[in-house]
Order: sequence, then structure tokens, then C-alpha cells
Amino acid sequence: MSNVIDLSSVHSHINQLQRDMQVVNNNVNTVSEQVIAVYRQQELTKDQLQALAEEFQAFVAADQKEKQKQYAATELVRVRQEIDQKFGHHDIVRRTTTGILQASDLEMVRQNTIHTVTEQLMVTTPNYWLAPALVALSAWIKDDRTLAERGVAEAIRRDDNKTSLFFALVCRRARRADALTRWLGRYFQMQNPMAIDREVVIMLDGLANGVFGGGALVACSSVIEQWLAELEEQAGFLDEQRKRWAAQLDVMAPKPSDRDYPTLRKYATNAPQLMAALSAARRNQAVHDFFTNLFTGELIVPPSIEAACDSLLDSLVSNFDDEELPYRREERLLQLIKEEDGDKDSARRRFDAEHEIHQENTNFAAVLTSSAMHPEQLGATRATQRYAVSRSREWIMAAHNDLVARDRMQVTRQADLKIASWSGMSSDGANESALAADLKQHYDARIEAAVSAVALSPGVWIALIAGVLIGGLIMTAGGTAILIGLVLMAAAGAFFYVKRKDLDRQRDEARKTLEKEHEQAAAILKASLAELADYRYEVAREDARASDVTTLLESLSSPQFVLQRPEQRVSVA
Amino acid sequence: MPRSVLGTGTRAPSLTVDTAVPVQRTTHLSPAQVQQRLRQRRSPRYLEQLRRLDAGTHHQNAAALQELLDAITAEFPELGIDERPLGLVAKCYLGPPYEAHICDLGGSIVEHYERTRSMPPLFERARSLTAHGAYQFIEIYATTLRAIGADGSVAVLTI
Repeated sequence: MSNVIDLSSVHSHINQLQRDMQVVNNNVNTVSEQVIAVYRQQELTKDQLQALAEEFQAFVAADQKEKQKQYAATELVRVRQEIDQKFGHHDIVRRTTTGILQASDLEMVRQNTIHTVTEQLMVTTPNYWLAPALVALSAWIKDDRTLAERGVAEAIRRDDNKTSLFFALVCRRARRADALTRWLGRYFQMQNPMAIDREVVIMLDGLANGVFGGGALVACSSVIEQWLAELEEQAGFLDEQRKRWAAQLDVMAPKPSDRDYPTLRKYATNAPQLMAALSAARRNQAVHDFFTNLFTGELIVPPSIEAACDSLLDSLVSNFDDEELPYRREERLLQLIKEEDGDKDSARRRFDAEHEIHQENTNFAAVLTSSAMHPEQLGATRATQRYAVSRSREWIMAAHNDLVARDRMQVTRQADLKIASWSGMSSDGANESALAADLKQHYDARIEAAVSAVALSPGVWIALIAGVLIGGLIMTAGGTAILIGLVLMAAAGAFFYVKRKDLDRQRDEARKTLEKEHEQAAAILKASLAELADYRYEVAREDARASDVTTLLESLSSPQFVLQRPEQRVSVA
Repeated sequence: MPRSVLGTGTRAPSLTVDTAVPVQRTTHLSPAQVQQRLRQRRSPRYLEQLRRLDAGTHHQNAAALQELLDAITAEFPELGIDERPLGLVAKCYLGPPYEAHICDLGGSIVEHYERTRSMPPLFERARSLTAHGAYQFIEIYATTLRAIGADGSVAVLTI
């Protein structure tokens, strides 16, 4: 019996075990790659989900706006129909006014016909101030003094302000200067500049368009100065007026578009403040353009004093009926929602800025502001708009200066950037190299930490120790158990070796992933800083335009914007 | 470190107005008239005095500082002391690390501040506006700031 133990079979078993371990290792590698692939897929899915959530939110917001817009459009039709139903019959009376005057000029209609028409209107439109005024007008044409006086008395009872202005314009049309001055004087006596009716715009229109000449022009100019002087004596008036103008100018700030500085908007945590400063700076150009356009171009002057008066009479009878005001308010808000594409907040801001237009009475300075900024709402002419702006220029300049100072104080001095896990600050993009170095340092530290974190798991160590111990224990039994023990220990050793060898690959993988992220972050940082430099340049450029607005407004003076009609040569002192 | 002037060390500027002092404090002007007066364009002499603040003259002698204080008083002769500015803040052109200097009229002190150092709370409100550089200086009041342009124009900010 030979004492030599044949280990060849052990050797072949160990070789076989090593091959099997290699297969296991390959499989583990495959699984590892699959896990990485799944991780990448998960990251991709996460990004896509985030993008989807953003798209969904944008969709919901857009959908809400679209619905608001549609609702506003539908409601607008309803409100207009309601106005038409409730006040449509006033329209006939309104149209009849200038119809009577023009028919009388042309002498084409019998006086009795005119009289019959006005009597019918008196019957069909109860409580409307214009109906008795028209009866008085037709009686005047017919030379029926008694009826004329009764008609005037009734019209005055129903609405003294409008009747006085109405007959002032009719007298101006008929070139009766004394009567015009008396009607205007009556109108002025009734006015309180602290709470004046909106139809005072007609007086401004008459003044600015040169309809009121001679004594009437002087009377209007002096009464305006007197009213404003009275208002200025009121505590807090000037502040109120500046705030009123500041609110008007503030809503002229254009909204930044999605194409403005997209990288900065995405990666600066204080992007809303940065964009607000941009919007405020751009307002200077918008304000400058508004006033430049207003004062550019020739005014369309009505060919005759009759046409000018008719235009003012149309405006007087059409735009200032207080019963229609609640409907007009609703109509205007709906119209603004439609104009703002369903953005209710923006519409509300614009509506609030012009809310005084829709009040029955307000102070005279507010009427000047409304005539300057929303002439279409009051039916004011461009000439009146120019006059109102030039008369308000001191307040506009003060409001503009205050707004500019407010916005300059709010300019964010730093852009707070957050790109992936890195964050940094820059004021104007000039510190690119320092930030790039900081970014690199940040990722170097992350890579080092990630590489260090890759280590053998406790399970591997346990498998190794358990394999060696159990193998050793088995070997103590002797005989073939030695063989089995050796195989077990070898298997544990091989497993440990394979796992240890795989660490390098995992470390390499972690390094590459973070290096790729660093490259992307560096590109984003570069783009953000480039945009920040452009942003600062644009904000500084737009901010400097603030002085252009002041220069433009300083060049205006109100007397120069009182239109001189060809038939008159009287100027305001 | 704060840069002290006139050998006053680094004492904190006082911003309180001693209401117990029996000096002329109020005027015959109404609050609205006071506001209107403070809205008016500042005089060239006043602007010139404030311009010199940065030249460092006030660091060398007390007479220069007194001249500055006199100019401020002369600018608002009709206003009571509690209606005049509590102080002024202007951009500092001494260069880094200094960013702004303040003139505390209550404590009669001029002090330069580095970018990293906080000013007293009342003055700190004007810091960003001062840094903007569009205004020659900022007047400090209890509830408002008045930004004064190089041409003397006034913009009012209510805090």
C-alpha cells in the first residue's frame, strides 16, 4: 500500500472550482453592469418624470388661462348684450342729438318733424337727461321759448352737469360766445375738484382741441389751475398723485420672455429677483416709447368747429352715463382678461391701475391721469392726452424717479447658482476661473469620496473568514476531509480575490460618472456666467435709459399742447 | 477694521435724536409742506460739500467736517432738526476694501465701511442703492430714504 496521497484529483477539482468561480464572477459582472444600466435608466426616468411634471404644470397653467380667456370672451358678449338691452334705447337719443343739429344746419328737415321726433324720445326714454335736453333744443330751433325753458329745466333737474356742458357745446357750435361762457361758468360753479364727475373730460377735450376759444379758453385754463392749486393744498395730495402715476408707470414693465437668459433662469436660485430687475429696467424704454409715440405725429383736427363740437357732443352723451358704470366696469375687466390671454392677475393689476376711470366721481388730478393713460376709456382725444401728460409732467417725473430708485434698490447684486450638487455666486460673471476651479475642487472631492466609498462589503469578508474556518475545521477530521476542507478554503479565497479585483472596475465606473457630470456642470456654469455678463450689461444699459424719460418729460409744457384751431388765434398765457 | 476719522476711534455712530434737548425742533410747516420741501432739488453748494466727503478732507481736520455740517444745516434752514436727514450714505471711492461711507449727523462722525462690514441698521438700508452708483448720495430719514442725483434731483423711497 503506497503512502503517497494522490492530489491530482484535488488539483483538478480546484481547477474546476476556479473555472466555476470565473463563471460566477462573469455572471456577477454581468449583473453589476445590469444594475448600473438600471441605475442609469432610473436616472433617465427620473429626469423624464421631472420634465413631464414641469410640462404638466405648464399645461395646467396654460389650460386654466385658456379657459379663463374663453370664459372672459363669452361673458364679454353677455355683458355687452345686457348693456344693449338695458341702455340700447339711449343710443337712439344719442344719435338723434347730432342728427338734429346737422339737419338744422342744412335746413333739410321741417322744424315740426324735429319737434315730433324729440317728443317721441321724451316719451320712450323716461328719466334720461338727454331727452328733455333735445326737446329744449328743438323748441329753441322752433323759437318756442316757453317749451325750451321747461325742457332745459327738466334736463337740469335730471343731470345738471351734463346739461350745462351739453348746452355749452351747443352754444359754441352756434358761435354764441356769451351763452357759452355763461353755461361753462354755471358748470364750473357746480364742480368740486376733490370729487368731480367724469364728464369733465369733455371740458378738457374742448380746451385741448381748441374748441373753446376766447374767453371760454381763458376761463377753462384758469379754472384748471385753480382746481389744481386747491388740490395741492390738500394734505397728502402730491404723494397720492405721485403714487397714482407710479402705479400707471409700473404696469408698463414688460414681462421677460422664456427666451431671456434661459440658463440663468434655470440654474440661478434667485432667478425671479433677477428677472424682476430686468423687467423693471426695461420699463424705462417702454415708458419712453409710450410718451414719444404720444407726442409724435400730427393731430387730426376736425375740419370745422361744428364737426369738433359734434364729436364732443357724441362723446358727452355716449361715455359718461353713471347707470352704465357697473356694466362698463365688468366689461373692462373681462376685456383685460382677454387681452392678457387669460392671466387674471395681470388683468386685475391693469384694472386696479385704471379703477378711477370707472368711479362716478374722483378728484380732478385723477381725471387728468386717466385722460393721459387711458383716453380710450373716457373717450378723450389725443390732444387731451397730450395736454394731460404735459400738465402732469412734474408728477410723472417724480413718480418715475421714485420707481427707478425703488427698482435700483432691489437689484440683486449676486446671482446664486446651483448646478447639480454644486453652488456658487457671481455678481457679473467675471469670476469664471475662480468658480470653475471651485467646481473642479467640488467634483474632485466628490470623486475621491465616491472612490473611497467603493470597498469590499462585510459579506465578502464573512465568506472568506467562514470559508477558511470551516475548511480548517473539516480538515481536522483527516483523510478525504482534508481534500474537502482545502477545496472550501480555496473557494473562499478565490471568491475574495474575484470580489477584490472587481473593486477597481467599480471605482473606475464611479469616477467616470462623476467626471461626466463635472463636464456637464462646467458647461452649464460657463453658459450661466456668459448669460449673467450679458444680463448685467443689458440691465445697466436699460437702467441708463431712465434719464431719457426725464429729459423727454422736462421738454414738455402744457400751453404748447393747447391746439390752435385755424379760426382762432387766442393763446393761453 | 473700521477706518476711524478725527481720532474718534471706532465708536458706533449714534442715530438717536435726543428729544429732551430744548432746541428748535419743529417748524411752522405742515407735514405735507415738509415732504414737499424735501422733494425739492438740492442746491449746488450742498452737492459740492457732499462731493468733498470722499476726498478725505474731513479726515484731516474738524473744521472741514463742521463746514460740511453747516452746509447741511444751511440746505434746510426752514426745517426743524427732527425733519432734517439723520445722516448720509455715499459710495466710497477710496477703493477696496471700502465700499461706502456714512456721515452720521447725530454723532457728527464720518466713517468708511468695508464691503463685509455692516453699517448701523438705519444706514444699511441704503447700501444697495449706494452700491448701484446712480446717485451721488442717499439721505437717511427715520421712515424714508432720499436718493440724490448728481443734478440734485430727489427720489423718495418709503421703507
